[in-house]
This record gives sequence, structure tokens and C-alpha cells, in this order.
Amino acid sequence: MENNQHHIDNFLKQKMQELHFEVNEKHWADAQRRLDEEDKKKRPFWLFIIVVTLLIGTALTALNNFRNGNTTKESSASANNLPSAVEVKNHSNTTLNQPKTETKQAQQVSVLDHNDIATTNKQTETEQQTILTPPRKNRQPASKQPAKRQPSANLVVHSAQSTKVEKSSESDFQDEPKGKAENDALRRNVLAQGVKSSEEISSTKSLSKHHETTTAPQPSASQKGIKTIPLAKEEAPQKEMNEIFVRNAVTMLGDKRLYRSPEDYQKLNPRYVKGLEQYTYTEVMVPLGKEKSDSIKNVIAASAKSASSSTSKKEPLAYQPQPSTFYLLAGIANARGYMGNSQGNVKWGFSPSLGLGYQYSFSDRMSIYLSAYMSYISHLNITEEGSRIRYSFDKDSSVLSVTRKNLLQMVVPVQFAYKLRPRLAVFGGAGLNFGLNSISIYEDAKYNVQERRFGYMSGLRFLDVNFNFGIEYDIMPQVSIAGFYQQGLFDMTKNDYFNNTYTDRNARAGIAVRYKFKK
Amino acid sequence: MAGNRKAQRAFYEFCYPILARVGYRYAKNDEDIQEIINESFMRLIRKIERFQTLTASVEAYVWRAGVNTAIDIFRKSKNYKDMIQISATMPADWKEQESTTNELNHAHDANEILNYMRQLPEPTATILNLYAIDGYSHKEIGDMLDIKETLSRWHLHKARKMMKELLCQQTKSIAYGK
Repeated sequence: MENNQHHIDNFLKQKMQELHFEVNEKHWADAQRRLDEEDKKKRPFWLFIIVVTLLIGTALTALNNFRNGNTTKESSASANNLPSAVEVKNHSNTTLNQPKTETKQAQQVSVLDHNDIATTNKQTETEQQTILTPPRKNRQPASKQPAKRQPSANLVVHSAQSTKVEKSSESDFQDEPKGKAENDALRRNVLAQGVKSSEEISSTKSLSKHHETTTAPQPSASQKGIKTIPLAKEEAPQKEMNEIFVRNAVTMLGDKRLYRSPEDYQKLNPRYVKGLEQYTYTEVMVPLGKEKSDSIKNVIAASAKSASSSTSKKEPLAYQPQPSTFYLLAGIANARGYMGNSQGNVKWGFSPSLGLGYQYSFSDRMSIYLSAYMSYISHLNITEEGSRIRYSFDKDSSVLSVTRKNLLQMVVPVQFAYKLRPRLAVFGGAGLNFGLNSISIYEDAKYNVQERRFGYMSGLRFLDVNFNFGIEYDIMPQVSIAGFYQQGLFDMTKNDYFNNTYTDRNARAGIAVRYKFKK
Repeated sequence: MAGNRKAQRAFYEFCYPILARVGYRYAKNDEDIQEIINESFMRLIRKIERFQTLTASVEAYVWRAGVNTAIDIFRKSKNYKDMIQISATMPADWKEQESTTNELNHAHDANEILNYMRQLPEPTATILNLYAIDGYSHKEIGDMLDIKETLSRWHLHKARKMMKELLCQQTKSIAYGK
């Protein structure tokens, strides 16, 4: 029976071996398509590195620009606020900060000049008001001013006899009989005065408890004898603003009211202080000497200079004390594999890492990193095959194979870091690589089994020593990104096991991110 | 070899006759034939480094890759087990008996034999291929296809019988000049 059955089997086998096929181009085209897809899957790792680097670079640039934008805005704001920072002292010693809506217009000095307005007012009732007094010697440049504005002495109103009006509304400025004669006299004096000197500056003053209006027709600006201080050419904008101030002031006078509303007041005085409209005002000449006048110009020039420089110069960062803290470490690297027993070229492969560490800081610049992270090396290139089963048609088949793909490692580096710049540091050190386990592809060709298995550590050593170095940049106070290179010193594959004389040393290069926990 | 299309083409030309012999035996339509050939080829390409340490003959290695791929594709077909069971109308008391037919005309062309084999039901043809041509035992076939050895033997018996009938019918046709 066996012979008869083998007769037809051998007949079929013989006939099938006589078959010969030429390459079908249609099939080859399909094979090419599959090969192309395979090539796409095997994109070089450096492409991945480039893409990641570009993404990180773009993110850093965007972040940097974003931070610069914020810094510039803050600097501009503080520069603009510097000359306009106002401290108002009234009888109750209430301090008010000028609102943010003020701008450089605060530099304007309006002049309603007359000779003896001050003398027409009773000195005992006169409050002193100083606008743009000389800057203090210890004043900081605008860029170094903190974001939170501090009160300055640019405008100090001592209102010994003024009474704060509780309600700030239009009705507060309605005509009242009290003090009418007094304010009328004051207004007449104001309008009657001409420019006495460019060194004299008038300012609005809080004088009495009540507002005073009059129904009498008001003279025009020229008739009132209101003039402005002649200014130098470089102070043309200032001159313009002075004219606006005077024009508005005259309009107000024409409307029989000095100030109607906070908006009106703000038009008149860019150095508007919220709450000032609650006081009654009149105009008082405050004679200033030459020295004070010059100092005003200095303040204006300094503020303008600081405002312009704040937009172009970055605030230098200082070395911050580094806290000793734990950190989380994650990275990706391109790691060099081993030749193993393949006798082929050594390949580099993707190697992620994740671990923890502790950073101890000796000083503002010097730190030590103690890390421990898990990682793996790809491309071990170690394949072992067994041949315990043979097929009846061909006795040369081996059906079992174990291909070691990845070596799981625990890496324990000790690194010293030195800050070159407040955010930039270099680091370097040495470490140990512990080979913990391997991931292998176990294949049984006979039963078409292909699966991952652990534990095939034969032919692999346990320990490797490495040195490493890199550069680190602090993206944020708690997050930093580093590029590093690590070079192993020992061959983790046993050459005697593979009858291999080539000494293979692992290496890896990549990027890592550290997240420092708050202490 | 990766990315070297000329080398890949040369390797394809080497593998193609071996893989095509497998593909044309196991599959009945062109799509499946192409799938067996090219999927086997891709598996060989992915494991190309194996050739450096191969102790067996390369042809046998390629052949085995083709057979494994063909069996994989066959097993991927839906309800292949049911297909095997249904197509085998095996009597309960069936026992493998000695074949009395020994009239094989060796003048048959190989392509004719191939066509006859492709006329067999797919499970039957697969088992015939695995046992008679590729050299697997019934136990191995039973493990591969997850069927009983007896069923494998039944399919083989059926395949031999059908093949003999086809061959004899063709022989008679030739003899009568049809």
C-alpha cells in the first residue's frame, strides 16, 4: 500500500518540480509596491531626530518670542508709567496711584502764566502742587522698575483745607453760591495774566470746598492773555500738547466750569489721577526756578530714552539659585546596537528612556545630577537557530530560532552640571549600564509561531560603564531639555560565545527632558 | 539590499520560480497566487540576514517560506475548518485501504497535472500538497490546520482518488484520440 501511495505522490511531486515559471511583471510590480511601503516604514532615525529637533526648536523660538513679548510690554508699561507715577497727598493723607491709561503725554507741562495769581490767593489757603518735580537721585531706570508701580513724588498735592467730596458726579460740579465771589476774582486774575516767564508753570489746584461758575461772558483765549511757554524744536510734540491743554482749559472756562468730568480732566491733564475730580480746583501759579525747570527736561529725556531702550534691549537674566530637588527624566535616543553573530553592519535604533533623579546644587552655577532610568538597546543582531526537527522532504530545515532584538537596561549616570548662562548649562559624567533582560523574537517556522519572549540573556554581559556629556537648556524654571551623548566602554556581547573578535561598544545620542519637582 | 532595487529584482528572480510553484499549487485565483508569492518574498526580504547564517540550502529555505505563507493565507480564509469538515463526507467506519490503481501515464505534462490538482476542492488540494509534495506528516498537518489526523488522511485519500480518476480519464481521452 505504501508503495502504491508513494507512487502517485512521487509522481505528483516529480511533475510539480518540473514546473518552471518566469517572472510575471505584474507580480513584480506588486512586489515593488510592497518594497516601497517597507522602505517607508524603515525611515532613518536621523529623519525622526531632525523632525523632533525642528519641532522643539520651533517651540522654543515661539516660547522665547512669547516671553520677550511679555517682557517688552511690561517694560514699556513701566517706562510709560514712570514719569506719571503720582502720589497725591490730601488732607487725609490718602495716596492714589495714577491709572494705567496715562502715557508719555504726562511729560507735557501746560502753562497758564500770570504774574500775581499766587498773590491773589490767600497764602494760608493755598495748597502747594508740584508737577514733575526733579527726579530723585536714587530712581531706578524704567527697565528696572518692578511691574507694580510705586508711588513717586512727581505730583504732590497738599490740600490742607480742601474737603473731599464724597460723590463724584456731574451734580458735584453744579454751581453753588458759596465762594462764588472768591472764584470769580480768581478767574479774572487768571485770565488777566500774561506770560511772565518760561520758568513759571501753572497747575491746577484744589483751593476751596466748592465749585464756582459764573454766567458772565468769557473772553477769548487771546483776550485772556493765555500764552504758552516757547519750547525748543525737539519739544514740538510737547508744545502741541501744551496748546491743546490751554485750548481745552479755555474752553472749560468758556463753559464756566474748569472740569466737567473725569474724561474732561484727563484730556486736560494726561497725568490724571482718579479721584482728583472730587476736589474743587482753581489755578495757581507755582514759580519754579531754572534748576527745577531743567530737571523736568531731564526727567522727560530720561523717560523717553528708557522707553525706547526698553523695546530693544532684553532684560538680562541673573543666575538663580538652583534648588536641590527630585526630577523626572524622559528621553529618546538613537542607540548603537551590536554586531552580535550577524557579521553584518551594526545598526542604530530607537531607544526611549524614562526614569527619576535627584539634583543637588552646590552653588548658583554648579549642580550634580544623580539619575536612574530604564532604557533599551535595539539591534542586538543575535540569532540562534535550532534544528531538532527535520522534514521528510528536506533534512536541512531548522524550525526554531531566537532572535534577540532589544536589551533592557537600567542606566545610572552621575553627572556634574555647570551653568554657562542663567538658562544654559553643560554637563558630563559617568555611569553604569545594567543589562537586565532581553526581548527576543521566538519563531517556530513549522507551526508558524512568532512571538516576543523575555529572558534569553545567554551571550550578553550584565554590566557596562559609560561616560556622557551634553548641554541643557531651561525652557521653564521646572522644565529643561538636554541633548546628550553617551559612550559605553565595554562590549556587552560575549565574543567567545559568538566566536566573534570584534569589540562592540554601545553608544547613544539623543534628547532628554527633565521635569523638576517643586520643593 | 534595502533600497537597492536591482539587487531586489535579482533576488526576486531567484525566488520567483520556487514561490510560484508553491503559489500555483495552493491557490486557485491569481490574486491569491500573487499574494503567496509576494508575501513570501517580503518575509524573506525582512529576514534577509538569515541567509548569512543559513546552514540549509537556500532553495529549501525559500520553499518553506512559501509553504508557510500559503498555509497562513489558507488559514486566514473564513471558516476553513468548516470547509474541511463539510467537504469531507467521510464514513464513520472509514479506514485507509490499499490503492489498486497503478496506471499513471508519465507522459502527462506538468501543467496538466497542475490543472488537475487545482480542480480539487481547496481543502483536499491543500492536504494533498502538504502531504504528497511538501512532505508534511498527517500529524503535522493536523497541528497546522487544527484538524484530526484521520480527517487529514481522509482528505488525502479523496485527493488521490480524484487525481487518479482525472488522470485515467485524460489517459482514456488520449487513447481514444479525443
